[in-house]
Amino acid sequence: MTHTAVAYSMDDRSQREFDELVYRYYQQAYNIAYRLTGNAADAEDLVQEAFLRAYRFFDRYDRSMPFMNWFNRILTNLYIDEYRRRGRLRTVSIDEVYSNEDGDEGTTMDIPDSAPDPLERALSNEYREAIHEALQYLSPEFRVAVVLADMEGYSYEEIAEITKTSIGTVRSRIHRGRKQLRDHIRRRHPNLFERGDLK
Amino acid sequence: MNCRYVQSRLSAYLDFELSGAEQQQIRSHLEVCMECSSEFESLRRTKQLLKQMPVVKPRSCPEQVLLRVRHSSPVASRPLFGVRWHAPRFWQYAGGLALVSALIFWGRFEDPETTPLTTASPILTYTTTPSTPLLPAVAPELSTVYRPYSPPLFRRAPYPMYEPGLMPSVSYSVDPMLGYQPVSAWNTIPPQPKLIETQR
Repeated sequence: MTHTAVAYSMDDRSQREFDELVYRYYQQAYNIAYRLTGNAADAEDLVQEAFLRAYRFFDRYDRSMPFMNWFNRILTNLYIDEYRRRGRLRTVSIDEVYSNEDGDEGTTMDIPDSAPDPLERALSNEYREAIHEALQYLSPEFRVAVVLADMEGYSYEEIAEITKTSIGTVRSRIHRGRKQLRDHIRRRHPNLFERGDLK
Repeated sequence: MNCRYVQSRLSAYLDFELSGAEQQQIRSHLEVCMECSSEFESLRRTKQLLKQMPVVKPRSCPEQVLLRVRHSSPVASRPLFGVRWHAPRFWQYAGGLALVSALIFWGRFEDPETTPLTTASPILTYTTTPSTPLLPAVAPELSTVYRPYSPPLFRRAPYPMYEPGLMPSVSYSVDPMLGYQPVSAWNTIPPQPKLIETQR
């Protein structure tokens, strides 16, 4: 009852503040949701639902915290809940990944090559799709950690705050998630890893 | 510092998330260990690939979100008394609990063999075992109302909650011309017991 009153009486200032935040962060939020869900329709649903929840609980938002840190907590929680609810958890066995790892990766280190690095060019659509697809093979927790760290540039501390876990857990998830991604992409597109000397 | 330790920290090293001393130690190790260095390069490449992924443009616009937010119920689905009343799982549990308690209460009663189904006069009503044919051959004059006995699936209440005549059962009336006629699914108390007694 009290909450209803609070929500109905969201004053104009809060309303305007919320609107501005939606305008400012909508694209970023959508991008994260798209990388997590893997498709546009689910991403739109996720973003809408997350903003709706943010609106309802806007009175609890602590202004000392960046909005996107708070919002990403809502978004990632929603995503993981929804993922579990749909029961389409696809886990990738770490053992399987490790057994497919080839042992001669170190040999590329000594070959000097003056050709332009493939990464210096824009990633072709094929590579983008491969990376996007590889992301979908990660478990939701790993995916959240990797997307927030490598695509959004959050620090481990921020990710720990968003996901409500310890920094040690975040470190482990990012490391294992990156390794799984690397192995998956390398199996499809080994040339992306051929030029090793990027120092 | 062995390779296993270094390799477990490579992502954190790559993200500058280690202490200064640890960063330095791993850097020194990578300069001399080719295996760890190669592992590090592949992780760095993976991070680079992810970073280069383009920002996806949404098809929808923020106005749509705001429109939906405006038209939504502002009441948050906050748990009331710690229970999420709107969660489907809550109703699943509640339904299961109701079913189990109904079965428990239904079964906590006396043996139907020794419990009369109704309090009707035995002169007018009697029950038979399933093996008995549904014919009033023994005492047709006593069986104006004939109620076949069927063993219940569950034990019934010795003292029914409702008027015994309103307990659901199938009854038959015997008509000399028409034979056995089902009267209704909701039986009434057999009529005029006093009348027959006075006739006697």
